[in-house]
Amino acid sequence: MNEIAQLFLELIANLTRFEVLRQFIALGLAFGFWLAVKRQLSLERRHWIGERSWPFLKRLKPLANVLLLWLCLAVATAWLITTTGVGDLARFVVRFYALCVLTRIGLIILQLYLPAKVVQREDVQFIRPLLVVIGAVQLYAQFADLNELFTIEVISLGREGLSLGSLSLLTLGTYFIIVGSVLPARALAALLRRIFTLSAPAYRASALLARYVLTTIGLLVILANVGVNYALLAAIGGGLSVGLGFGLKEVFANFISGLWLLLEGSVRPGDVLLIDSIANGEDPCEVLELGMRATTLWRDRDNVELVVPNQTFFTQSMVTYSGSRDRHRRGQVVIGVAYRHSPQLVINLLEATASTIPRVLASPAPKSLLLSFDNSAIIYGIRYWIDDPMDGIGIASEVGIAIWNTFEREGIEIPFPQQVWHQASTHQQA
Amino acid sequence: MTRGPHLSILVGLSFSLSACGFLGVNKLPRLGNSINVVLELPSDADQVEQSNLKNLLGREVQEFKRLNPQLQVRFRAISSDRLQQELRFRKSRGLAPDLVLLLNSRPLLSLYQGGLATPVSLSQEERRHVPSWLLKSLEHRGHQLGLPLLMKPTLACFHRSHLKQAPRTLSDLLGVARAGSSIGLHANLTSLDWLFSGFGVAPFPSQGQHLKQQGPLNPALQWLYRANLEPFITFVSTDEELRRGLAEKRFVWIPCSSGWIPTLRQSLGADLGIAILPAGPAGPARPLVAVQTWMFGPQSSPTQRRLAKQFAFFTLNPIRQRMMGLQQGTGFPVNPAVTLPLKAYPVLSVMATSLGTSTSPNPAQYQFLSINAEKISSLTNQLLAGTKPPQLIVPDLQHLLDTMPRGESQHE
Repeated sequence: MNEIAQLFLELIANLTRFEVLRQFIALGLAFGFWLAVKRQLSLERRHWIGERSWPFLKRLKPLANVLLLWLCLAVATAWLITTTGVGDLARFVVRFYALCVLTRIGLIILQLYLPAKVVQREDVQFIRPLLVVIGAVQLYAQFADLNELFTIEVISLGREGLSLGSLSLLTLGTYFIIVGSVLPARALAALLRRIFTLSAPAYRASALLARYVLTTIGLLVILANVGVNYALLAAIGGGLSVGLGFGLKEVFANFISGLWLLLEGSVRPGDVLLIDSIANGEDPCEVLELGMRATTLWRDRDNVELVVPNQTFFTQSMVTYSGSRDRHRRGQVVIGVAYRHSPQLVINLLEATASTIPRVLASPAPKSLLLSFDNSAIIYGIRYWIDDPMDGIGIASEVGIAIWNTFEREGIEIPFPQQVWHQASTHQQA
Repeated sequence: MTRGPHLSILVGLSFSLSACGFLGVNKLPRLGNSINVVLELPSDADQVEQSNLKNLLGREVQEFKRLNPQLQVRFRAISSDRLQQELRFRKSRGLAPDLVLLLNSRPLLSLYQGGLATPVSLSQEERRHVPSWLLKSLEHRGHQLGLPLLMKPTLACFHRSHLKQAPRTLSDLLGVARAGSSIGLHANLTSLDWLFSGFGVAPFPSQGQHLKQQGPLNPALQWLYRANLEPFITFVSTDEELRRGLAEKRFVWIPCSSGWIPTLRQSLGADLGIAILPAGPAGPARPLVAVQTWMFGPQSSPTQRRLAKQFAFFTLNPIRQRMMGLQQGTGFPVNPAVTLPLKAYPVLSVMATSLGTSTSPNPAQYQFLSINAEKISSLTNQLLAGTKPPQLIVPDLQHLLDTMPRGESQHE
């Protein structure tokens, strides 16, 4: 730590050198000039020439002031270098800022092809932290020797120590590989989808699998670079397995279950599952994400995300509508009709009515059945097929309403519950 | 979008403030009270030589800080093959070091001409710390480009177990090779300056020295030609090959720099013999002496310049010079006021003898050698490959010597 403190003191000492201060003052003046000019120009609100012809320009509008700042800094740096011959520190700042601006533009382009939510997550979790790390490391490299910093031993493990460089690679490298593998994995999965014409759930599953593969490769590369002592790793692994056996058993079981489910393909992102619900029988839920520990499901009726441990799917039976055949689901509406109406007439009406609902599939055609003779009514069921299992409740409602309207129009009675009461005989009364 | 930069500035400021608190504000360097020193390390040096050089400067910095606790001196070692590039990189960012300790004065002029060095002005009093001939060897057109720190002469290193005593003359050297002892020599005419001087050639002529050297040039080249025919004499391209050759006992005798002694001592122990280089028919060898030189940076503030000079002169004071000479044993002090117990230190005694006849090229001559390195190398190759006889090489070599800038002084 003392060595790190010394290097930090050296950095501060270098920052106070005249030639260095002059560069930062020049950049500061450029920044002040930008503050004054951007208010006058208000580029973000102004109408741009060609904005209507090229809609992409509109997307760049929020970057106008950022680009203006870069221009101010670049001009100040060029002037400084021309007049004094010294300004590579300022030039570094300008170049790094240009890199930041380019990543902003890249993200805007990415939004044209990927969901905004995904791009935003990449930006916050990967791009910005990566830029911060690159900026900090490169700024340090302008002042001092990076090798010297990275070779400082921070952790002593017996005869072999862990240098700051290795520690940074282990921590930051692992983080960036985990969060940074999302987009490459998606790209890989998209390629696979194109080659093998994968379904949406299969595509999502392959994206997740690709992410796991890329992360594993990345971690192995990091370990190889750090030069991990494999005997030590085996010892740690042994200790960890005991820990896994007791404390982390559930976490590990969930992780393995998730991996197994993914490989098996029984539960994949995009699948629709029926989950038992206390109040409403069964609820269809869509699988949003198969995480390392738990699976995130989305229930449409109340827009709730359910986090279910992976082990649940591994140990319990599950009804899925996204098996290997198709995603079609059969819906049914049960209705009682008065005894006086001909069953054939009712069946015809029910089938014709169900066929009029747009989201009911024409093939297989809706099928009505006489289910039972109840006390007050004959019970019929109209069964139909729908494309999206998540729409089951909504379509059932539509079918129900259409049947009511048809019955109203055709004079078909939906009877109330009826009960015949018999009066007792007269001799008993006497 | 525009919040980003402001947030970064705030985060940066908070980090700096918390770091100041962590380190203690009083430890932070006062503006201008700190200097950066760069130490040039030989690119082919081994761990021993590198750590010797680092320890030498490290001790001086430590002592200087002990006496001047309010001052900060930081030093960083840079390999000689990256020195110019690194200095240019730092200068372009306003971070040129205030002081550079060069291995020798070879790159001094090119660094000065490239704007990477600045001359130093010396008072009469300050000049008394260094012999005038040595100061003059670091001058260029009236500008004092550097200050000498230690002299590292070229010596002869050999195996005592194979040779009872080192060959005293070049004829003895050939005789030793003919007797079956392997000899290592540089395959570079510039590094064989000591050999030429033995034949009366002045490889680095001084002002007013006559240029009629054609006479001694031919026998010198003839000697080299004959030596090349000897199976036990090997010409190698680098210092490293020579040093390793002796350490691994492939060579019995080599010309060596005094800076290699600790490394060779580690490998050979008491078997390592040190002597002066063999004399030629015209007199003793006049080997080149490498002068470790302080060079001043171009971007220092007046305070930093003053501190850099103060530190450089601190290393030139008789006590520090004597300590360096005795502790290090690889360099000879430049301060004439220093007296060393030569009888107790035989290596220093050999160094002193060698320095009595050594020469030190001036910056312009070093630059001339760098510019003509390819031509000299080509001549060497022609001679050693036997594609051109020595007498045909003489005119080309003579032309080179004639066009070499004159030195303003010599040791004598």
